[in-house]
Amino acid sequence: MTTAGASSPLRTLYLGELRMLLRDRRTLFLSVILPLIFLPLVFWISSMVEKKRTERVEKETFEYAIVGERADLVRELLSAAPANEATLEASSRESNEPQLELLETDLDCTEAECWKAALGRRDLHVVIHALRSEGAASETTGAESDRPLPRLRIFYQGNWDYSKTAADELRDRLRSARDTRRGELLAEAGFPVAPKDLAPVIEARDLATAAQRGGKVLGRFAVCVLLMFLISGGSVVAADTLAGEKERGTLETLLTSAASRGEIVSAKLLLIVTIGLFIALIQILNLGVYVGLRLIDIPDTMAVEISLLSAFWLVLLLVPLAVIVASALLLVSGRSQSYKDFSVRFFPVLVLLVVPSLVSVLPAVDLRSGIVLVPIANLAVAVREVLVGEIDWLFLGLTTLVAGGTSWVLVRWTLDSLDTERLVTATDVDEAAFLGGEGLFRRHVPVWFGVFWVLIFLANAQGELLPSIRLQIFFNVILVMGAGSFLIIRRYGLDARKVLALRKPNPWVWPAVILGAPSMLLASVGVARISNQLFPVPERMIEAFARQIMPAEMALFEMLLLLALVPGIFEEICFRGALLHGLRKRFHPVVLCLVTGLIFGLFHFSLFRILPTAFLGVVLAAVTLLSGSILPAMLWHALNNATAMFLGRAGVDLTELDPAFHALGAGAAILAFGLLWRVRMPYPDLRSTPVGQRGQR
Amino acid sequence: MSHSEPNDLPVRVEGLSKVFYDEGRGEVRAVDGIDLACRRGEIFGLLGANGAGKTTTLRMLSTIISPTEGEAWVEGHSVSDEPEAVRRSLGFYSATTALYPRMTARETLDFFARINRYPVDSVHARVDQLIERFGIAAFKDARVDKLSSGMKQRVSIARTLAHDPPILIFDEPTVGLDVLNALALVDNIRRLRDEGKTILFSTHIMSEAEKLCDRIAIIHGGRILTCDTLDGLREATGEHYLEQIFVHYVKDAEAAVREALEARDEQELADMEGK
Repeated sequence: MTTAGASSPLRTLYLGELRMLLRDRRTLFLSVILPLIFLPLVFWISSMVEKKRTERVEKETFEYAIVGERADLVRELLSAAPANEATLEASSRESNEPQLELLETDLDCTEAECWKAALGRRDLHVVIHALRSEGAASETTGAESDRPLPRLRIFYQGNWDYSKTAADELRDRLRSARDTRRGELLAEAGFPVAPKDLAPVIEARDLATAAQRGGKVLGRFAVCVLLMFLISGGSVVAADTLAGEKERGTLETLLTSAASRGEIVSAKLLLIVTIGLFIALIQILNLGVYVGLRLIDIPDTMAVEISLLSAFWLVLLLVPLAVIVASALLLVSGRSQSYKDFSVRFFPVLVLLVVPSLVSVLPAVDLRSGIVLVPIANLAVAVREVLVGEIDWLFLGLTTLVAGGTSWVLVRWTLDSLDTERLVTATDVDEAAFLGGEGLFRRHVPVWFGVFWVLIFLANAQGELLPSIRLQIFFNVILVMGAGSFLIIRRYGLDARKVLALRKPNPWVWPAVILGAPSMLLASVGVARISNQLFPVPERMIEAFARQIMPAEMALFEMLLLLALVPGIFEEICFRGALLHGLRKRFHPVVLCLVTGLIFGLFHFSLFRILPTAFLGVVLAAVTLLSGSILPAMLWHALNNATAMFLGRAGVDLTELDPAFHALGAGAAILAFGLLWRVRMPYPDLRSTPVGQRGQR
Repeated sequence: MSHSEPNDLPVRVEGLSKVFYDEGRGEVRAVDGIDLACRRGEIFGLLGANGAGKTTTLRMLSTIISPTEGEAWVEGHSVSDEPEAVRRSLGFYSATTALYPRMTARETLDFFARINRYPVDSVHARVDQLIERFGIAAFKDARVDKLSSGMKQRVSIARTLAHDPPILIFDEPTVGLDVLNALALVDNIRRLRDEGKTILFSTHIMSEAEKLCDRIAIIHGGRILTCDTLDGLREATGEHYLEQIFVHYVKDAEAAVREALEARDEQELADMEGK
């Protein structure tokens, strides 16, 4: 049998699945037809409800009673205020509110208890209590007034809509009448100008175009709404595709075919993306049609102009969104044994997907912050920016990268779920969970580091919790990273020597490290400066490269201990020890360096420190893999920090250095790595197969 | 591709083991270091009671699950390293490998020929040939969920053969079939052998194994107790019926296990007394 002339399984799988989907009336109805009629239905019902409400309010007669000594004043004011003008002028409510019919009724009682009870019984809507103020002080000045001012109180039942509506209307009318009255009284008293001509006029004018304003309104919810469309279309297909196949027993048939796991997952993913995007598109068109036909009213503020560039970015951001949604849904499906199982897991995933997208509602959130690293939240903020016409290439690009990376990880997890026997064949339990130790440790490593990250994040988010740098170092570095790593080693009963790579390196490694650490520091600042020329980045980014260690107010030996030696030992135990060991079989060595480096960077929360520390992390991982031991990385880390510290103390600003120093640093760093390569004793038991082959099972 | 195996053994298994963990029973060695070899063009029977390790072994061969220890080769391809090549050379049929209910019979065969990388130009001809051979023509355009169980079973065998693999695995294929359908299936399997296919056939039904298999391996507790032709087994045990032969081996094995357990207990008692 030859592969030449063979058909592409991916295409066959995709078309086959699509055909079956179109034949399944239930799925088709749930994922295509229902969403199509659902949205117009919601709009239609809400407009009907609104219409009904207006009608009923118009029909209703609102009854009020006036009690107290100055009832005459209230009647006078109300008769003076022409209803419609008064509402228009003084009301904060919209002008299209219906005209209320208000009617005064008699109330037999004067006691407060009595009419309050009447309100409670809903005998009438509002009671106005008009008091003659006895020796009341003017509220604003506190001075005794010659003319005691009457005080009008409007009583209503806030839990009864009609009572509140009537109270609002009466309040507006009374206020308006009072203002007119005040003008008349002033004029009578001989005040030379009309009160409305007295004060300066204050006006606010918005310079944003209607499109920019519209973009801002739309941008707040655009991604959330899109997500709902994508999920409504994709979830039914996702449930049907892996969980459904397990339930029907067809997955085993498929898995014994020559199609690779990668092809199967890709075809299914493609199907969910197709259906999700299709539904989203149809929904948008659907909305457009209804708006075009004026069946749904859209406020004028929603006018959005989209330039070609914005459209390009919107599409570029929409695609990873669709892929993230599809792969998250497929992952849930892959982890489920049946439809029922899927529906149980679906809700938390729905929340997990939708909640981050609501970040764009918060006005203060900027893409140029840590938010750029949070999947979905970054897309929501990015779409909002694009819709108001802000195009920040660097951060939009970063957003796309993070989103792409997220979907990649989700797809890998789905692939893994097809290799996890427990999930494929119901009765069998996969062996790692039983064998424990090494295998289980490798699987749990990401979770452990997630917990470490959250712990450190929470402890440092509140400034008061760890007020001094000493406490921070103790908690973050020694307690969480150091003790945490030993906890892992104990928990899985691992051999600490192996996990931490405590081996004696080739003696030639030491001079390489002593040469490499300071020169790599110089070189990295140089690289940052050069790349700044090509892609301008905020100045703080380069400064962060230069000042990795902020000199604190403490004695030199203490700084050396806390900022060089302690991190050198404990951060290495954690990242180049436990993390590297745990991930070593997951990735190709080069990818392994990048991934552990990035994770190391992510533990330094300030956005501008992530990149330089990630770079250092990659270098340290490479040193560990080449020398087969953690000890050189420990020395390198400590030397790197000490160098940065000494330079900072000496007042040397690396960003202002002569370029020749950077070149010298780069040369020395290459030399150091050349030496490391020559005397390399590679880290044992790394993943040997090329990256691509993993998905082939 | 290494078709030039010394003895041309299409399926070769060495020291294959599978360890599961079961909450109630703890560590379970579902398959415990088995060796076997199929010759080209024979029906190789795997005979054992439920839970003996038949399905686990065949699932490892078809790469749905991976071995804990040991290795197996199908047409010279290692199940651990070349799972796709392995799957391309075999067709897997079991009572649990269902068909897609919303595809027609014809589409099913077309679909599986293609995803098994059968040469594109020949797919049509191959599908027509299978429809003809298994008498599917009358209902070839009906959706699978509308078919009777007998019709489904014919489509299912045709599906297994869609890409014309040299090796066929039948994992307890007659489970759940009525007598006539089971007979038809057994007949089909015999014809496939006569056409030169190598067939691995697992069952717990003695009469099926007796009638069908060229060689029989008796599997019990995850181990292969013996492997020979029916005549060879008769000679070795002095029994005539396969049922008696099977009981003979299983009793021996269980006695051996019991003895081993007793020996261990005695040893432990002696140790305790010694202290």
